[in-house]
Amino acid sequence: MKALVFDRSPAKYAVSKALGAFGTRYRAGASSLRLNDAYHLSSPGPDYLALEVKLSGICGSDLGLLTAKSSRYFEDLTSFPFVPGHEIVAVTRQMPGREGEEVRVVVESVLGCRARGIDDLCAQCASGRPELCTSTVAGKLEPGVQIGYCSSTGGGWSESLYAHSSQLHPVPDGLSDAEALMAEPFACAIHSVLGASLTGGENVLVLGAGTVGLLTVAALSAFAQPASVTALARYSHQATLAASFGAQVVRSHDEARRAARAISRTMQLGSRVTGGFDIVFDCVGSADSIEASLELANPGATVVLAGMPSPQRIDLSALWHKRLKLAGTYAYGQESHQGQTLSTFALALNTMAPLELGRLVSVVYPLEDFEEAVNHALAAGRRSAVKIAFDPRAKTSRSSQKGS
Amino acid sequence: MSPRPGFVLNVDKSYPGTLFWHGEGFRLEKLPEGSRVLYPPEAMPALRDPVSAIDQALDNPVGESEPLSALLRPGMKLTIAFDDVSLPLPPMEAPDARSLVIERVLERAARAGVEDVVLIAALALHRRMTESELRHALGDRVFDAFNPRGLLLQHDAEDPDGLTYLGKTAHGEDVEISRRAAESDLIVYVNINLVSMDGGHKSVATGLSSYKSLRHHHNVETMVHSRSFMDMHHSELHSSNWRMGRVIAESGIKIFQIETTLNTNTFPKAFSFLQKREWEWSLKDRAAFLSASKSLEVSPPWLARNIFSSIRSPYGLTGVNAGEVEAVHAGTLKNVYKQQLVQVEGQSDILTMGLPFVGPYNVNSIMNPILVYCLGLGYFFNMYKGQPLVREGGVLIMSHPTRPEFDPVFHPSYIDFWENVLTQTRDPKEIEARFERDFAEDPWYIHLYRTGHAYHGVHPFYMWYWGAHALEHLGAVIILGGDAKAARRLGFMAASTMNDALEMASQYVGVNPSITHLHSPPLVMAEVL
Repeated sequence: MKALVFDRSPAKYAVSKALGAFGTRYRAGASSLRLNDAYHLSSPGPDYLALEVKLSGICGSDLGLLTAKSSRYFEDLTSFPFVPGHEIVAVTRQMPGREGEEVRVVVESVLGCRARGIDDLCAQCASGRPELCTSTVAGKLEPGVQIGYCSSTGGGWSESLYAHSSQLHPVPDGLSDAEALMAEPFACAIHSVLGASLTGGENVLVLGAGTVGLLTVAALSAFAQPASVTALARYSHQATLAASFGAQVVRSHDEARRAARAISRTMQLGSRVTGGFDIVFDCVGSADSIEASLELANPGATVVLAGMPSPQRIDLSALWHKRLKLAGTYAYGQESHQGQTLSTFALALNTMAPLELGRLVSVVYPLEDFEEAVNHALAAGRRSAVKIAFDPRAKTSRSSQKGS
Repeated sequence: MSPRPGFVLNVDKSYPGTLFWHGEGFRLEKLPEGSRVLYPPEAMPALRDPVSAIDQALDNPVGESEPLSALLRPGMKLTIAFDDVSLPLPPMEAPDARSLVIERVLERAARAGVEDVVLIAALALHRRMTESELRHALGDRVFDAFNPRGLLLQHDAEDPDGLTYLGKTAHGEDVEISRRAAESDLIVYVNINLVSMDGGHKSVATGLSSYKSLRHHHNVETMVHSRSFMDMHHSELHSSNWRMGRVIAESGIKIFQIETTLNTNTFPKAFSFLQKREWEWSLKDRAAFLSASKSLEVSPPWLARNIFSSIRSPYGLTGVNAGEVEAVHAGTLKNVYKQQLVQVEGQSDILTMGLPFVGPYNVNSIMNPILVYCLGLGYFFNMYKGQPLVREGGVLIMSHPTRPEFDPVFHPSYIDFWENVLTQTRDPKEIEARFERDFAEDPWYIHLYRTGHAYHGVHPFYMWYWGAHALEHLGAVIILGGDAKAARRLGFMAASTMNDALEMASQYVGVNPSITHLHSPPLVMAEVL
C-alpha cells in the first residue's frame, strides 16, 4: 500500500531543525518523511480492524514533528518507523455486527489499555482517562501514545491502517467526510473546555484562531456559559470564523492588552494590564503565546495550554506574581455532561452537525504532493486556509480539490 | 475699508480651483461647472483697544446685571471659570483673550478687597490642560500667581466631593455642577466664542457639570433634534442647557458672564493665502501655496502635525459682552453671525468640504478617525441655519487623510471605541444603549481623566452622537483621500480623486447633481433659505 512513512534519522532531524530555524520552506528531501508505494503492515491481532482511509488531517503536532520543532519528550514513547496522521475518516468492512458492510468511521486515535489489547486496565484507563494511560508502551502494540506515532497500527497518511474495535466511532449519515474529519480535533477542544470546569459567567480568552482556537471557541459556545468569549485572530478569515463560532469579541494580537483591560475594567501601566481574563486558552503553544496568555490572565486565573508546546524559554514572572494556574489539556477521553458519562468522541459527533465544521477543511492533497501539502499547512493562516488534509485515494499529482 | 461680505460663487470655466483642507495639507480641486462655493465674509476689523473694550463691558453690563465692581466685596468667595483648550482653533497669538479678560477681572477683585479667588478651567469631560496650555490661556502672571497656591483648578467631573447637586429641570434633567462654583458668591465665566454653538448657559451648565448632568443633552435623541446645534433657537442641545441654566439661577447662584468674539483672521503670514479667495492669490501666494503643499506632502504626519500645532492665530477681538448670561449671549451671536453667516438659496445634492488638521478635541494631538467623523458630520455639517446645505439622502464628500492613528494619552477610550464598538455597530442609538454606560463608568478611564490628560471615557460616544443628525440625513459619505480601511470602519467610502468621489456619489444622487462647497478656511456658516 501507499503510505507516508516517518523514520528516525538524526542527520535529517538536524537539517530539518536548521531549516525550521531559518523559516525556510519545508523540503521533502531533507525530511525524515518519505512516500513508500509498497509499505507493508501486519495486523496486530484479531481485535484490530483494517481501515481504508478517506481523509486524514495535518495537525499542528504533525508540523512540529516534520520541522523538528516538537519536543523530544515523546521520542521514547514512539515506535519507528511510523505513519503519521491521527485525524482520520475511514471505512471498514469488518465492523463487529456489520461485517461485509462498508461502514464509515472516525478513529479515536489515543492508544490506551483497551486499544493495546490489555485486559487489566491501568488506573487511568479504568477511570475513563485513556489519554493518560500509563501502559502506553505495553500490550499488543509497539510504543506510541496515539495512532500516528505507533509503528504497529499505521496512520492516517496512508491508504490503510489498523485500529482496535474500541477506537472506532461510526459517522452519522448527515455528516460529510470533511465534517467527520473535524471530529477528532473537536473532541480535543471539548475535552479542553469541559476540563477547565467553567462555572459560568467567566470572561474567556482564546488565543489563536487556527483549528485548535476556532474549535475551542465552538466548544465554549456549545458546552459552557461564559460571560464572554474573546478570540485573538491574526488573519481576517480567522476572525470571521471565530465570530461565526460564537466569539463575541474578536481582536488582533496587537489589541489584546486593550481587550483584557476593558473586559476586566482594570488598569494599564505602560504595557502591563493589572487585570485580564478569567480563563485563557492558549491555542498556539509558542513561547510568545504562553507569555501573552499569562500576561492577559486575571490574578488567580487559569491558563489552559491547548496548543501543543515545543521546547520553550518562558518568562514565568506573571504566573508567579498573579498566582496563576497553568493547566495542560491533551486529547480526549470520557466526559460527564448533563448527567451522562460518555466518550468525548460521541459528544463531538452528536453535537457537531449544526456547526458545519467541514468548512474548516480548506484543501485536500494526494499523498504524492505531501511537500506542497505540508508547506500549505505551515502557511495556512497566511494563505487563508485552516485545515489541510490528505486523501490517499486521490491520484492526481500536483493538484488539489476541496474536501467533500 | 469695510470687509467684503460673504457670497456664493458659481463655478465657471475661469475659476482657478478650490482650496480644500486635507488634514495637515491641502488639495486644490476643480469642482464641476455650476457648483456653488460658499465664501465667508472677510475678517471683521479687530477692536483697536481690547483692554478698554473689556473695561467698558465690565462696567456697562447688559441685561439685568450690575457692573462687575458692584458685585465684588471683601470676604466674598469668587470663582472665575474659563473656556478650556478646545477654544479657539488654532490657539490664538498671545495675549489670549482669556488672559486679557481675567487680568481685568482680577484687578477689580483686588481693588474690592476680594481675597478668596479661585480659577477653574471649565473642562466638562474634556482632557486636563497642560501647564503650557494654561500659561498660554491665562498668561504667566496669572498662572504664577494662582497655580503654586493651588488656586488654579481644572474642573473634575468625577470628584464625588467636588460636585453639588442642584435639582432637576421641569424636563427631569439633573443639574449638578462644581461645588466650588456652586458655593461661590459669584461665578465670573470667561468665554471665547468661535462658533455659535458655544457660550450662553452652555458655559456653566456644561463646562462645570458632571456626566450625570451632561448625559441629558449629550445624547442621540437631543442631537438628532438639534437642527442645527449652531442655531440655538432650533437646537435641543441649547434648550436643555438653557433649562439647566435657569435651574442654576433659581438656586441662587450668581453668574457674571463675559463673552468675547473673534474675527476670522486665522493664519499668520506664512499661510496668508488661506485667508484669500483663490482667484485673488498673488504670485507670492501661489508660490507659498505650492511650497507649503509640496513640503507637507513629503513630510511624515508627525512633522506636519508639529508644524501646524505651532501655529498661533492672529485673531482679533471683535466684541466683548458682559453681564447677565442670556443678554450677553444674544450680543455674542449677533457678532458671530455677522462674521460667519452667508445666505444661500436651497439645498444641493452633494456637499463638499475640506477638513483641517485640528478640531476642538485634538489640540496638540492627532485627529483620529472618530474626530474626523465628528468634525465633518458634527461640526461642519451643522454649520447651517434653516436647513442643511445638502438635501436629505444627499452625499457628503469630505477631504481628509483619516489615518487610523490615535493618541493613547489624550484619547485612550477612543481606541477602545474604535476597536470594540465600531466593529460591532455604527448605529448611534444602539451604541448609546449597549456601550455608553460601560465606557462612562470604566474606572481606568476615570482615573486617566482625573489624573492624566485623557478625555473622559464617554467622550468618543459624544463625538458619535454629534454626527447622528447628519448620519440620519445623508445618503452616503465619501472621504476624499481617506484611508480606505478607516473609512469603511466609519461606515463610509473612500475615493482617491474628486472625480472618483463624484462618480461614486452618482449612485445616490444621479449623474448631474447640484454641488455646494463649504469653503474653509476661514470658518463659514450657511443660512439656507
